[in-house]
Amino acid sequence: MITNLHQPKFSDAAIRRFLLGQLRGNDLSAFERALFCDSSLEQRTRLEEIALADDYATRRLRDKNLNAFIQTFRFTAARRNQIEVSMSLNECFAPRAEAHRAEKSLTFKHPVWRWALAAMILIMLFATVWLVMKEPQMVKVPRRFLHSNAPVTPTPEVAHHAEHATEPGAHRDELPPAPSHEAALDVIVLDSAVSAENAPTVTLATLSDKCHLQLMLDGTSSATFLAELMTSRGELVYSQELTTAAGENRISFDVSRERLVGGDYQVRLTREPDGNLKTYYLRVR
Amino acid sequence: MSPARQLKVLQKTDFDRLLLWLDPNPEHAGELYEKIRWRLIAILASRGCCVPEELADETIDRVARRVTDIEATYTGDKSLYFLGVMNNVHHEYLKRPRLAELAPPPDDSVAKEQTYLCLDKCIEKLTPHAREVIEQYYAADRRAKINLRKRIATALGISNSNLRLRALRIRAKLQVCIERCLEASQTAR
Repeated sequence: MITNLHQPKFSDAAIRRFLLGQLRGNDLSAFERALFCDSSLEQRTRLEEIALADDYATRRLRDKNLNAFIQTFRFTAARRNQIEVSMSLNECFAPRAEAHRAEKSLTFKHPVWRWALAAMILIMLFATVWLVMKEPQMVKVPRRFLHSNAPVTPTPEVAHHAEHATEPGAHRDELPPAPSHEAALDVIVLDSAVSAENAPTVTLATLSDKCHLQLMLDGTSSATFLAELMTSRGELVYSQELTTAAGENRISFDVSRERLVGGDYQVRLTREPDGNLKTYYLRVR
Repeated sequence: MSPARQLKVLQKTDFDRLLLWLDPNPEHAGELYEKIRWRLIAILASRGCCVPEELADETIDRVARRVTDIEATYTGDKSLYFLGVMNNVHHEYLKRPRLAELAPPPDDSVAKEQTYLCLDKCIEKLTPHAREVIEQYYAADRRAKINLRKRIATALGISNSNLRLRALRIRAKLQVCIERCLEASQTAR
């Protein structure tokens, strides 16, 4: 005679593991038996089944769980229908979120901003050409556009013209030795308080193989984040899970140079598990 | 009477007897039967079986054929008897020579369209409050979802986990409504 008195309790995570075929041995036997005896467990399992279909439809399942889902979950007609409904629900209601996002990025789409941006790029281009023509050694100027936290290198000191120079009239500017940490110049510090209009600009030509971003944080406690690099239109370019150690007020996010093209970008940093979201803006030229 | 017809009649008789054994009240018996079938399918799918519905029906058929032998002597939770028979059926399935692994059927665009139509109809049937909860629950995109759900939960004065439970319950009702709608549309075709 089976009673409900000694039914094991199963967490939502255990139910999910059962549905994904990840429960084994005694755990699986106990769960199967409980499913037949405990109607509340059955109800919870039915709801978790729907939640899984939702997660699949919204692409929130990853790696091991996604593989398990594909291998075990979709073999019943009812579940396939659940996935269909989840997808339809997302298609039905997601456009609102898209519209909201489009509104947010409207600042870049507005014709006035586009013209202003185009004019600014032209001015910068002419200024660069003029500078290069005037002082060829100033080709390295674009690096100054980078908002860098790298140690400040000494400004070039103009060499004193020797009173008795062997080559009279020769103009010898002694450039400082090249910095030993060349990559450090590629570090760009982003602050979520900086608006899209005032976003720092990265010049692709000055980047090495990677663009090293440092995202300023509010707190200094250890946490895990999901960093997503997106275009201004919300297209995901690259994402990475990051973890900070306690005491750090910034987090490093490296993006391969090949992923970047000229344009406006935003980095969305979501703290897990509370979902706190920060947005950082960046321009690439 | 041909043997095939005889078998069919026999199965119908056995099936009625099975329902009667499960519960004298036909409505309760039907509900219990549906629950048992769902549980069997869930377990078989969890064990990695590619044809869980087929094996669940085979299990039920076997139990139905044995009801005459066991109804007088069996004590305890009747649904657990199905679990025992299902273990045998699954064991036999594992011994079968494996043909090519069955893949789930490809997407059917007509069925997709029909699901969409049924979803619209079923959402209309929800109460305004339930509709609002389900719309907001599914509205946010992946990144904003967590924040939005927190805001909805706060607005409704409930915890985040309760909001999830509430939304999933409404979603479960929607699922039942949609399944009925799809069945009705298939019958109409």
